[in-house]
Amino acid sequence: MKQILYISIILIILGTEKLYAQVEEIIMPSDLKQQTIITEPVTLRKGFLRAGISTNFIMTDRLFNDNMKKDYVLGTNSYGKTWSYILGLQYGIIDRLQVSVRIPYANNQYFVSTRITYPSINYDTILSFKITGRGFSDLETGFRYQIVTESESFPSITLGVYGILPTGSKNPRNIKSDTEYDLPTGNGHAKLTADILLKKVYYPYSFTLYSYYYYNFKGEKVMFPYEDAIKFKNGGMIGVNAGFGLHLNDWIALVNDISVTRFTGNTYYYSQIVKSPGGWDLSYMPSVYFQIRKFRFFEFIQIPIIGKNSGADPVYSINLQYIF
Amino acid sequence: MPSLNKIFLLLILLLISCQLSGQQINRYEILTERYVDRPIAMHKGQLQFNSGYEFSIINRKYDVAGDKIDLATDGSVSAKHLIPFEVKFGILEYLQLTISTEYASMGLRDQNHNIGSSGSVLYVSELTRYKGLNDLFIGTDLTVPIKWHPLDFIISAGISLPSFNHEPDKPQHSYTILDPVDGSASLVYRYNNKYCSGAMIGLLGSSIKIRTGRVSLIGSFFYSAGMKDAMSVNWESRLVENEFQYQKYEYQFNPGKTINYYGEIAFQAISWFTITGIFTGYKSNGGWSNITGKKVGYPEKSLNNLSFGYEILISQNLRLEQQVILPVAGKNLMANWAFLTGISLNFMTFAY
Repeated sequence: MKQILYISIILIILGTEKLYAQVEEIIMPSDLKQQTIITEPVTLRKGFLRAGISTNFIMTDRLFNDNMKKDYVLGTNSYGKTWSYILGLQYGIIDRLQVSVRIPYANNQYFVSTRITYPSINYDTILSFKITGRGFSDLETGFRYQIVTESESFPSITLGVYGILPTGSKNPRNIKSDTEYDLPTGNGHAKLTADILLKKVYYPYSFTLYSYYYYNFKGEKVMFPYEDAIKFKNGGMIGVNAGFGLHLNDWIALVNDISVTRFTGNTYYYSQIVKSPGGWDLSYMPSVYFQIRKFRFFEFIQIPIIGKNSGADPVYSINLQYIF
Repeated sequence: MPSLNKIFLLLILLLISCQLSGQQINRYEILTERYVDRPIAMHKGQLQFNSGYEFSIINRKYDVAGDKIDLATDGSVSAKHLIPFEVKFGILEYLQLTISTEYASMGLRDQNHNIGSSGSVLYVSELTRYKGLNDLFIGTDLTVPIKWHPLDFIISAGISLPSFNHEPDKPQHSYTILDPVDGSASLVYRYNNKYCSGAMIGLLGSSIKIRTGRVSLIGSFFYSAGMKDAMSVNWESRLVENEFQYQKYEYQFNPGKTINYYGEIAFQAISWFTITGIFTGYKSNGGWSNITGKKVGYPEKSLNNLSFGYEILISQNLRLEQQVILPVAGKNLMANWAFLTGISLNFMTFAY
């Protein structure tokens, strides 16, 4: 009797183990497409296509000055804001290799207004104008490859290489006067970036460490209306980013990133060479991700904490993605 | 006998376990209550912390006639950063305590002015900063005990206390000679104000919530007034040999009376997702100050905003809210569009 009981228990245990093993095997592709930012692998699986649109908003109000003090931009009379709308496509060639393209559309607006008075000749007027620039900006394309896939004890390591091509307009257009023209929507130079990304998931948490370098190639463009084109070279940029993500529930994730960026100054080859100062910044970027089946909606705010010769205003970004 | 004791102990444990699970269900139900079903005030024992971040662009001004002035073309657009802090606690099912303040930072620019004279130019710019914590508000909400779910009605009373330093810091004006040959110079007026008013303000109001299956409507009306005249300081400056000298003067003021009204329609799209449309209004008059040496009344001010947003019930303890706020009409006041992201942490503090 005892022997029958022992055999039954062993069979039940073995059977349960088998069932567990079967459950692990049955993974539907549609389930994989519903993984969240925390649980998904860093590159798309083979044959998966992700399409997304994003919109970013930037306003320039304050800057970190040379003494690393957050201060207002005074005496310039100007106010600028930039909306950009980006169509992004990513495709998994194999499980470890993903290619992507990003097509941005820029909407730049720049306002200037000054009261000008010459009391001696009874002259008092307000000079006020608005310059806009709308159109396609510089296209970005590249790939991301998983050098090491994630294991129980080791994070995944991926390499990303992206090129930005100067497809957007680089010179002022439709020039009617100093104050009436269309702003360029591109940067006028090519850019190459390379990054290394480490990611480890301890469900419901994920940790990332990311480091990148931007190299800017030399370009040539007209800086202001009625000027000749000049050569220029923007400085390089190096950055490190550490991220911590957690699931707030099964379908909402909060990701917190801290990033440090160091950039060198730009060089403008006028008859006398002009150089802008380099600098750095430390930013905090909280993001909220909503995963609703194959749809993903996320938004983030990049908040500069401290810096030198860098912007001090937040950047807003709203994104929607779908995996086919 | 020992076996009887064991059975008795087991029964007690079972009873405690049932009671505990009953409490958990009740707490869970309260904390995951749908937006449209929630009462305006907290439940008994409910503790709520609200905070977030609001980024605003002050790009519009309404003049005395209510006409809109575009500050972008006027050259005086500014940004405002605001972090609200609020704690609410349900002392009883029908009595709530609220304590709130907010931290804000903004710099209002004035239009730049270039004054030319025989080859030289004086570049004049002005920035008025407002920074710091707002006055501390302590309020109570009394719910009228109507045992009919579609209707909720509360009466509110509170006081805004001048808890933080409200006196402006010394200005940091500067005069810089840009070109010693032609005499061109830059003159920057920079005022450093605090965000709080420093006046003790009393508030009375009431709110009503009408609840149907998936839609709720809230209407609120609040009246507030300065309870006594307040004191502050004004800095006067003069330029002596390219350096500014400052002198501080005390003055009296009274913030006057303010009426705030609030209307909200909420649609419960799914149990954890609610879409909201909100109308808020503000009107003030009757205030005065003697900052100029004479008692001068403040002009009547008003502002109406529309906002659209949503609330997501992320977990039983955490709620996320986002709103876009747009000004629609006003008088004698600057207006801003704003983007608010708010979080709400909710807890039950004792057995319910």
